[in-house]
Amino acid sequence: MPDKGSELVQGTLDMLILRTLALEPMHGYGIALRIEQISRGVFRVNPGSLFPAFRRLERKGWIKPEWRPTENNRRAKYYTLTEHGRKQLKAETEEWGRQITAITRIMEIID
Amino acid sequence: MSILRNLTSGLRTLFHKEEVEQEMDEELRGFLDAAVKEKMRSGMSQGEALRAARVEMGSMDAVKEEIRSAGWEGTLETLWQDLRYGMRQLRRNPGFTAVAVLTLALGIGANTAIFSVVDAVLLRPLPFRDPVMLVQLWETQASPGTYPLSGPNYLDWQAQNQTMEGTSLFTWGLNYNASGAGEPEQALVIRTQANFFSLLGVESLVGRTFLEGEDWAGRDHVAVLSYGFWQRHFGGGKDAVGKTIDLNGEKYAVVGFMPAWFRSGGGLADLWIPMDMSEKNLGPRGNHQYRAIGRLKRGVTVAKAQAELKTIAKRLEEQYPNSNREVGAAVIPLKEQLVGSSRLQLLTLLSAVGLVLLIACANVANLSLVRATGRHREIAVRRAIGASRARVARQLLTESVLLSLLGAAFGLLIGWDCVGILAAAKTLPFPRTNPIALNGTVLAFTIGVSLLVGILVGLAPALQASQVHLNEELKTAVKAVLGPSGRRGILRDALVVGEIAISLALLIGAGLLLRSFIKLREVEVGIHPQGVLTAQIVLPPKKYTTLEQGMAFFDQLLAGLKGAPGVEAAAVGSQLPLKGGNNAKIIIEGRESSAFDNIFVEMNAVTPDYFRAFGIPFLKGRNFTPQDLQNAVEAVRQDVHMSQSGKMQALPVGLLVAVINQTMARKFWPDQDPLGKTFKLGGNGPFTVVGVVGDVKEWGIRQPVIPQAYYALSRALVPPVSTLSIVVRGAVGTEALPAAVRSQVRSLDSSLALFNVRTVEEVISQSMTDTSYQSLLLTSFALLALLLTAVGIYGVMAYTVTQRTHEIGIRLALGAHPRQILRLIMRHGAQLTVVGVALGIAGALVLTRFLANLLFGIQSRDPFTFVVVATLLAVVALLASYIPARRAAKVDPMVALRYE
Repeated sequence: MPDKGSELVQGTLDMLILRTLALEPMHGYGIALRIEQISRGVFRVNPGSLFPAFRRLERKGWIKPEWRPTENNRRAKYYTLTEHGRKQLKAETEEWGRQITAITRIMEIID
Repeated sequence: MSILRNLTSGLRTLFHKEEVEQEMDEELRGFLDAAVKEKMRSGMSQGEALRAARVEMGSMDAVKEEIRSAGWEGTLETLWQDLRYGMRQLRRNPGFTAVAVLTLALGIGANTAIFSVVDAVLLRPLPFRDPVMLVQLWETQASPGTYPLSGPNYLDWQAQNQTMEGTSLFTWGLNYNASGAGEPEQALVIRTQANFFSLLGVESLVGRTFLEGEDWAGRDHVAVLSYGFWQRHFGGGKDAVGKTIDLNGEKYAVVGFMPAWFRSGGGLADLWIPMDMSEKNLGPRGNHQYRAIGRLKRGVTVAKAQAELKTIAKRLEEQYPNSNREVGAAVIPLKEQLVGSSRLQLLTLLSAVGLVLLIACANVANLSLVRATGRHREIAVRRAIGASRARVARQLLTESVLLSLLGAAFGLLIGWDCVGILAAAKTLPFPRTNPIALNGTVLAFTIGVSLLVGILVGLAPALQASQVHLNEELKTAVKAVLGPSGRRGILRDALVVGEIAISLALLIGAGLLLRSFIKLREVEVGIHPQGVLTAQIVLPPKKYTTLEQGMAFFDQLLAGLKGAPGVEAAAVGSQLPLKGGNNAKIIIEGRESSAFDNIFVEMNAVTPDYFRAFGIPFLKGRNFTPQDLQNAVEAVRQDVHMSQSGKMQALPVGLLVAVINQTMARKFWPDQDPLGKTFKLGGNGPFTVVGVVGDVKEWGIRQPVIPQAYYALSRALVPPVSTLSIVVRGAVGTEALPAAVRSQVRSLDSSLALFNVRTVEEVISQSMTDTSYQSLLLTSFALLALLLTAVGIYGVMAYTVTQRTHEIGIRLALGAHPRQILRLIMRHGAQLTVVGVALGIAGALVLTRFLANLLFGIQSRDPFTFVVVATLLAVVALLASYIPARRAAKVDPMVALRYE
């Protein structure tokens, strides 16, 4: 099991969560599952990193929590991407793309 | 926006903890359920899925802890927890807490007290309007130093300068008989130009200060009172304004009085009256007797103003070559003028007290280390349940900061007391520009220092704790027996060595100052001070308008005193030993006068018995005879007549005689017999030398002896007469003398009052108060440091012994002699001492250089002091190790072997 967030830097995890929520609102486990599935198992986020990330993103106003009832009379906390969050995601995606391009270029030079 | 959200969210977490916890639980349980469901869907059984999900999730509590620390309120909570935990720990160890808090309180309290003085004197600006622009003006001459101004020079400076908004002239303190309101007393009066107060920017408390134009004859009989004088003579009544007082027989109208904080004239001025600024009243250009302040124009620097004044002075030098030769100008910022000389003293004291605090910190750190070893189990447990190293270290640090703040709280109480004492003290060796108080700056300093102390003290145990080996500590078995050079031992040893070094440096500094003080006391003033009384008196010019009146008064006074019982000799003089300052340039017929440009000759007008009264020995020649005195009076009459009639003629040689001191004889007539030689002094003379007496330190105890000439009193009795001193030698001590002198004076003129009635011994010791204060304070600090260090050494040695009890038991059981055990422990102590002393000497060699200006008669590297102090400290240190060593030697091996 990957160590506590040592494979996923805080900022990157935030970005992945935002991206996951860009499609539709989800609850905690859903987000973790989606990230694991789509990354084909490369990234497995444990709750110890995930939930603090939720709190952070919530405080920054990028996601909004909402309790929705599930079956068995329970409720689950769903997170939605806010307008701010959407903007932030766009900015981070661009930055990430820029970094990736740069790194790729450098890596290809060193032969 | 996110800040607001952050804030409100955090607050909600703090205040609705239950709710938030429940929500977290609910969400996490939901996560677990969803995980189980997902795993079951991919084929696991419910049991397997549950187990797998639990493993993936890890500890729920750990997760919750992570979530909690994600917000700012998490840190706050942690801090709060740490504080409460720390308080519990401290309460559980009252002994440790008490000792630590007390030690820190002493150190922090002393620092607070000294810093409050530093703040009042050095840091706070002067209490005037725009104080940075205020400067003091001085003349300079060929020899180094600054000199009072002459009136006409000042007027020219005032008229010609462009760099200053305004300047104001004022006198030194003058003694006036003040009466007419309450008890008559000798008041210290300062005469000023009318703009003095407005230039400084100070307002009177009630009434007004001087108006423009009041510094002119006819309008100058107004007075501004000081707070103290107003309280003493008018009982602090507001109706004092408009009343009149009597100064030297003349009536002055009180126009206002100043607030309590306003001081000038060294803080002793009783009243201010305007001075007549007309040129003729200010004296000749060659008489340097005034001071002046100025206010720079906006944007003008001190350097610029000084350069301009120097130029003006040069112009004056060309215009008036006789009086203004080599006369230049100096401009000094007022703050520098008032506090500059105290800076070194105060910074030395602050450094010393800071070092004492360092030692106190080292002691408490050592104590903490000792206590920390007893907490290894506790820390191991906390680490085991998931606290990170940083968390544990943070908690320990919080605890020590808490300890330090407690110490600071008590320290503030101590500091408050000290500040109260300092503020109320009548005389302090520091200028009283601002009142000494425990204000915001001092408080901030104290808190800052205690935070620093807390971190310093907590570093050692925090560092140690973070290296606790979990496995070892959780077992109850064998404790590692670490020798004195074990890792933990090194930190403690280093602290002790540091303490020894710092103490040594402080003790050496104190020792040097003490020896300076002793050397000062041994200085030969040149007189026999036992049993001699001095008193000063002023003859008001209104009443004593002629030379004859003055002479008659003093002739009768001396005759009466000589006849009084218990009086061996009585005399009058214009200067007292150690209190000189009246000097002039000498002119010797036939010698190049420029050779004597930098040499001042002190002048003293005396009656013949002056030498006997002070015990100044005659080395050659003779004293004044009655004929000499008559001639002198005749000469004065001729002088007065000449200056009145406008005809200036030299007096015939041989009319005036003088007695000179040995330094003067050696300086001007080195290989000749000075008797019979003649000289002129300033505008006085010519004098013929008739006698040579022993040297007297006229300028002060630290100053070298200067050439001095004594001549007949009559020259000083030409009105207006300045302050004169009466000297009486008692046959059997000085007790009866003050009353005798007072009654004699009163019988001649009941309106006169004596002041500064002191024995010569008092005068001498008062001239050393500065040094005595410093030595006292520094010695106290050094001794405190020594005490703390001794306690520290004892503590560490005792602890080491306890640590090694098991080992000692083994050694004893194997046949070691108790004395060998003693040697073993002592060797450790001796090692620490040697290293500490070596470091301390090295440090002292570097640091005492800064004390050089405060020392007298002793070098900053005086080997004797170094050796004696180092030996003293080594003995104390070894003694502190000896006591626990002896205990170690007495250990019963059977008990020791069972000790774990």
